[in-house]
Amino acid sequence: MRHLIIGNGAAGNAAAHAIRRRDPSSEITIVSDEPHAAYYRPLLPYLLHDAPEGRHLFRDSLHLPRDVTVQLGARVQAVVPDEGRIDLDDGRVLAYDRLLIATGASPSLPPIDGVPGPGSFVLRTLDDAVTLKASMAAAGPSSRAVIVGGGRIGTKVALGLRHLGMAVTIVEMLQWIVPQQLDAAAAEIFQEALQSQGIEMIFGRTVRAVRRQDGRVRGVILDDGLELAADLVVMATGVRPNAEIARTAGLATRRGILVNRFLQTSHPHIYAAGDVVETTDIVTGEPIVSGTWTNAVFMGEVAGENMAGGSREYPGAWGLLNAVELAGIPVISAGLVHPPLEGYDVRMRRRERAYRKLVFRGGTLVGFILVGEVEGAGVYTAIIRERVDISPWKEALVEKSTCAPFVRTLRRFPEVYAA
Amino acid sequence: MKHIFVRLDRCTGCRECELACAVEHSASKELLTAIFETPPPRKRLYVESGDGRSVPILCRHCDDAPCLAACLSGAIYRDRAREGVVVQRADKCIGCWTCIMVCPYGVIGRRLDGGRWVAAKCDRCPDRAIPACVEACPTKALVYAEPEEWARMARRTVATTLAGQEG
Amino acid sequence: MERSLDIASRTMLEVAQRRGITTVWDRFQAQQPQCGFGLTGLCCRMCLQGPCRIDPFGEGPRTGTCGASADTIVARNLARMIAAGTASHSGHAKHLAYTMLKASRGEAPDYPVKDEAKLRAVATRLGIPLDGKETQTLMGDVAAAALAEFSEKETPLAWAATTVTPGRVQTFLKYGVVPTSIDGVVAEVMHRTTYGTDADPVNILLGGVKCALADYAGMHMATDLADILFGVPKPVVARANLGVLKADAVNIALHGHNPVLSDVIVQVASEMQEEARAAGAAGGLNLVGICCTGNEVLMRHGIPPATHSVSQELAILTGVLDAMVVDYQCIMPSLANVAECYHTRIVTTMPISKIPGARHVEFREGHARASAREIIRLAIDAYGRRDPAKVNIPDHTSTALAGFSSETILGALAAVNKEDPLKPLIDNIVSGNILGVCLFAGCNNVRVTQDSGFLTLAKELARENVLLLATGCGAGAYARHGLLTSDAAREYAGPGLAEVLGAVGQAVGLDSSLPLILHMGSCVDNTRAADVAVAVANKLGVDLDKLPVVASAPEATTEKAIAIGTWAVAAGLPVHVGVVPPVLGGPMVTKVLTEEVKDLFGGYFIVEPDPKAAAKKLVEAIRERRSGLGI
Repeated sequence: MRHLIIGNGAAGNAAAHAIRRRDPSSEITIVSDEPHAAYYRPLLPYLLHDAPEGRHLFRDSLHLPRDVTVQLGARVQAVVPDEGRIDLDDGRVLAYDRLLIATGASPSLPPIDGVPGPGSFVLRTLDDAVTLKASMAAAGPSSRAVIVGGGRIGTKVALGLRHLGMAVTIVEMLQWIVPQQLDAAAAEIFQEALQSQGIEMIFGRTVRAVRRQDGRVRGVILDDGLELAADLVVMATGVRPNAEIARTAGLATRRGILVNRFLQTSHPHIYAAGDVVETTDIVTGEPIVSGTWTNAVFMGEVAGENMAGGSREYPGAWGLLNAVELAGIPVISAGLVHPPLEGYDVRMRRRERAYRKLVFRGGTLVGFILVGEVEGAGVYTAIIRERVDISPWKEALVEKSTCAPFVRTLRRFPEVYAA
Repeated sequence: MKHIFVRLDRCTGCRECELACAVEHSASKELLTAIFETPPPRKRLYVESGDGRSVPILCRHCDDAPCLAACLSGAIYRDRAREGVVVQRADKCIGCWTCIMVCPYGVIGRRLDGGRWVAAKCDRCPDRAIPACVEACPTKALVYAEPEEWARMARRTVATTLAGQEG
Repeated sequence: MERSLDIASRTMLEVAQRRGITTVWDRFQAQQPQCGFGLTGLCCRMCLQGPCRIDPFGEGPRTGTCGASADTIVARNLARMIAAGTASHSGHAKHLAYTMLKASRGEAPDYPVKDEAKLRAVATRLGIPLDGKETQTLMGDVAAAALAEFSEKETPLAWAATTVTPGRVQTFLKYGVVPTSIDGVVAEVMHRTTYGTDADPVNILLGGVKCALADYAGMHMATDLADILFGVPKPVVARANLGVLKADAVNIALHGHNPVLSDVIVQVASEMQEEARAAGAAGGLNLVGICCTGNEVLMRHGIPPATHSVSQELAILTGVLDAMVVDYQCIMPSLANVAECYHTRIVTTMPISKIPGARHVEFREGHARASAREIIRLAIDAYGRRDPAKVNIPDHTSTALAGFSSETILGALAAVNKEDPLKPLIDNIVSGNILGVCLFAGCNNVRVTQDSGFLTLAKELARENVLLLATGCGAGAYARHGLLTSDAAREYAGPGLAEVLGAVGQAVGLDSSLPLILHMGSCVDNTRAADVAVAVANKLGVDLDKLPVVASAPEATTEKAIAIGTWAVAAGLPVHVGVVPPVLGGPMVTKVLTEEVKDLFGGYFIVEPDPKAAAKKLVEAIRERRSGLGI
């Protein structure tokens, strides 16, 4: 069996392991358009200010199983499902028995006059990071940066640039920082921290244009006409699945590649996993494109197992599954954190720089935000996913994330406990 | 591979296991000096209150460990030389807390290591033949055994109970 | 870790192993690991809303349910330990006082005054006029004064106020730690440490100091009254260790504390030798001592000490101990279990101190000699039931020179300088022949290899020319290892110390020097050492906190030891403890006890389990005092 994987990211690597576990002798080839060995994309923002976390950017020797051929710097021009082959842009042709499309996503840019262009940057790949870093060095520490988009990436980049002494302003379309992962109360905690570091934030505005003079960025113009002085602009406005080759190959796509519960595309021999996939939200059942490393790893595992003859079902991705530390404050959030007003029981606790919010629907937990005191967050994640009825312990769980009341009902290794 | 099993009816909630775990993971490995260390040593297991009884919550070193899959920097790995326990290299931990986010038992914590915050996770006490928590338990609620041994013990207990109920 | 440095103990431990008899060492192992919350002092059981614990690593609760902080909890627990120690020593003193009172009324004819001079001296010191009174009357007055110390009154405890330096009185007044009633201050500690009362750790500690000063008063009373009733100790030689048990005699061990019991048994035993021989024991009656009461009868009658403290069970394993007669304190309940494997009768004698499995013969002071005879007969009777197969007397004894009451010491110094006995002592301290003085006190502790702390420290300090005094089971350790001898002085004393011990020894007519260490008696007799220090301080015109005098309890075990350590600190001494007390969970309390208390009382605790390191710290403390005095 010849397995071919397009994409050398989290999903592709996890799939390779899953295939090899199930099928020790099959051929596995990975094709990636990036020239670099596999790296941890989430660590890219740390490179900007040479943070120690950035040292571990490249994955170690165990990230792939044995006997995997990796073709770096090879862009796929076309997938030909009927003939079981892909065409590379350097003219080579690779045949397969099973194909995994794990091409990830690319930065999605809103319509802004002057973007893309010199002085405006994105941060998706290692090359993006290298380019941005070089420009920052050239611009010098007294320059001013505008970050468009105050999500995780935008906030991390803002902190990184501020660390180097640049004047930084975040322009966020919604009403608070990291709006997908945080609610207003949680965001307030971070905003205080960012403000105390001198980062300016503008909410409820978008950027209309980037103004240049002599080929250099001078400012950005907001939708209300206000101009902010800027020497460089970083676009952190989200990503779009790289589903083009699937589309042109005639596979079913919408925002991302559509898959069944086995992560098969509309062609039985072609699977998809990771940021390129449109799947369902494990909590709400709504269609989502998931953009997290953890989701990608799990999808890759399931897809790989099924490519190698398994029939594992993928339960859906987490629309929100986030762990991050910003300005020294850890925050973990997952599931549904902005519930509709009806039908949900929302409970919150605020203590100084710690904040907890749990969202219940009936007797099950559907979402949570933990700021500051994040230990035990995984218990919440587990009971959301496993839909454990925790009605008797709701209040207790709001105070403390503990699996003690129901530890024997958790799936893994229940026989550890004898009554 | 041996695991730590729990006889819940014997747990008195005394928390000696937590103390012993912290002491084992201190610099001095002696209680009366460990309590003065900075940073303070961190326990990796938790005695919690569950439904009116005390329940020790420990790392299971899962076969399909979610923390292992989730770790972004490769800090968490499976040590084949030690029967496959899931352990962590602190120097590779970047403090992203993804492991905390996915551990269903909530047994991963945060600790200071050389000035950085990193994950704190059970390592099954590499310097000991028997984990510190097991040795510390005054009622032997924690049992260090192979799963077959444990199953045998459980069967014997059930059989004894049943036998006691007969006639 | 080795269990004991004492060869006799080790021999008996092998016997225990062979016979499958569990000893304190086995039971200690079975207790491991011991509770970390208890070890750090962070467990509170003062009310039914507990038991509470505080996490010493800072993650769990930081206060108890009522809000008590770690320091509050630690201080309360420590204060209660002091109260228990005080109650013990002063219970012993009270027993003597009652006996004396009864005797003064003719109700206890077996307790005549043995030393009238001491009676008069104590009365005078207390301000009781002599007025040509009959001995019996004066005895009654002193007994009444003693008992008054236990009741509610408004005057400071006489036994403390009249025995310490004026400087100490001022200091104690300044910090509000002058006790007026012994039982009153014990009750006060119990009150202030109960739920919702004193929560200020320093206030609690000062309350503990006040109680410890009452402990000092009670101990001094016990020593004084025992001297009056049984005699002031004079130099005496005996053999020490288990080898003093005899195969051909009825062996009776006296264990516990109060000479009210043990001294009478010794007196009566001398009249019952024939009875014992008639029962088949060619060697007659052989009395030996264990623990403090052993020290009391050693000091006054030369009764040989068999063993002490942690090795008390081992005496039974010799197979020749026919009876062990006990009163109270430091008596392990396991003795009854160990005795089950042998013929030994454990005889309890006090209404408040019974042991399951032991034989209880209530000792009545009104019929003391009759009670004693009854008890001795139990032993003679048991003699016939010895199992020869179980006889195993380790052939180890050492010579021990004891009997160094303060009167003996001053008497010895008077032999060097009749007009001014303290002068030779002071001169030699000033010259540096004697660097300073160290009083060794306290118990053995099963955590520490038996006697290892005492021996190492004594040898280190002796080499540095520190004059060594010892009491209690510490003195017992030295007795069993031959350090209460002039040979030991020759071997271990630094040159200056050797010279002084030699000179004084010659002056009193010994053909060699004084022993390396001066055995001053039982634990209550620590006050004998205090008297010498007070005399020196008064002579020099400085307070106790200026003297190059230190104390050490390298293997402390009991609550009594904590009480003594506390009053020694309050008295102004640097006090070494070799076993960590349960205070480290309270960082403020720990700091107060080891540092800040120095600013108040001049004394402080040195907690140091390593005896060599402890020796260095004690020498440093002595040197600091010397430079303070400009010597």
